[in-house]
Amino acid sequence: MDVTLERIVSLITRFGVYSSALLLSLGLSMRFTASMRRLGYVVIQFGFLTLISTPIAAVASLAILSVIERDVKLTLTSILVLLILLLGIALGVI
Amino acid sequence: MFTALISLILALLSGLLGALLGLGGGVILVPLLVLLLHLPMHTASAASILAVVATSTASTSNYVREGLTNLRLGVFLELSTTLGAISGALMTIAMGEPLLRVVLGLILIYAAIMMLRRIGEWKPKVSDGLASRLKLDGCYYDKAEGIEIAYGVDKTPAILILSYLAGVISGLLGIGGGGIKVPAMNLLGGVPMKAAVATSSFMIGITAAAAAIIYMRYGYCNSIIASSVILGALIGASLGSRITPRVRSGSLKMLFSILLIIVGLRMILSGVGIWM
Repeated sequence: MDVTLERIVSLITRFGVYSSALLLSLGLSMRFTASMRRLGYVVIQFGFLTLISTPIAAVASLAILSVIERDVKLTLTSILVLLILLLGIALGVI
Repeated sequence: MFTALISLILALLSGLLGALLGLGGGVILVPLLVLLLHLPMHTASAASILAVVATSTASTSNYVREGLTNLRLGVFLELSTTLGAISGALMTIAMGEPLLRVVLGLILIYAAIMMLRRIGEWKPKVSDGLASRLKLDGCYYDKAEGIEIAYGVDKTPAILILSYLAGVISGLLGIGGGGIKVPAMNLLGGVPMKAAVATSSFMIGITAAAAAIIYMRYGYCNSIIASSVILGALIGASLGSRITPRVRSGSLKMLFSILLIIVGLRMILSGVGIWM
C-alpha cells in the first residue's frame, strides 16, 4: 500500500507545482501587459490557489487511500490534519 | 517591473543558497526583501511563505518517489505543526513590525549557530510506545550506501511539542521551520538525516500552506512580488539541487553563518530602534 501511496503523493505534488508555476508565469507576464492586467491578477490568484491546495491535496489523498486500505490510524491522523485546516477556514481563523 | 525582477533575482539566490547550505530559502529571503527592497515584514513573509510552499512541495515530489519520506510520521507531526502555524500567523497579525524584526533576528542567529554546530552522529533507536502503536517506524534504500536502512522513532511526544514550536515560527515569520524539525527528528527521535530532511520537507509544504491562507486572507500577498518570488525560488532551488553534489559546502557554511549573524544583529538593532 505504501508504494501506491508514495506514487500518488509524488504525482500530485509534481503536477501541483508545475501547473502553479505555469499559471504564475502566465499571470505575471499578463500583469505587465496593459490590456490584460486584470486577467493577469486573476490568473496569479489561481496560481496561488493551485500551489496552496497541492500539499493539502496530498494529505487528502493519504486519507482516501488509507480509508480504502482500512488503515484506521493513518485515516484518523490525516483526517484530523485536514479538519484542523478546514475548521480554521470555517471559523474565519484562517 | 523593476521590483518584480529584483524580487525574482533575490528569491533565485536564496533558493540556490538554501539548497547549497541545506536551509529553507525563507530564512535568507525575508531579511533580503526587508533590508534591500524595504518591503514591510508582512509582505515579505507572505511572499516567502508561498515560495516555501513551492520549493518544499517540489522537493517532496522527488523525496517521496525515492521512498525517503516517512508519510505516516509526517502526517502525525503535522497535527501539532499545523496548529502552531495557525497560532503563528495569527500572532503576526497582532504583532508590530519592530517585534517581528527582533524575533527574525534571533531566529537568524539560531540558524547560524545550528549550521556551525556539527550534527551528532546518528544512532538507530527503538520506537517508543506511541510510535509503535501508530506504526511510525520506517525504512528506505540508501543509494549512496547501497543498503536498506530501517529505523524506529523515539521520544515522539517531545518531537510533537517541538513541531508545534516550528509551526509557530513558520507562521510568524514566513520561514519553513525545518531548522527545528530536522534536528528534533534526527537527534531526539533517531530518524536518519535523509529521512528527517525528506519528512520535514513534506511537512513544511502543509504547514506553509496553512500559514499562506492566513496571509492571503489578510491581504498581505502582493501578487506581483509573491509570484516573482515563487518563480525565482523554484528556479534557484532546482539549480541548487544540481550544483550541490559538486560544491564543497564547509567554508561556504562558515562564511554564510557569519553573514547570518550580522544580518540577525542588524534586524534586532533595527527592531529596537537603534539602527534603522
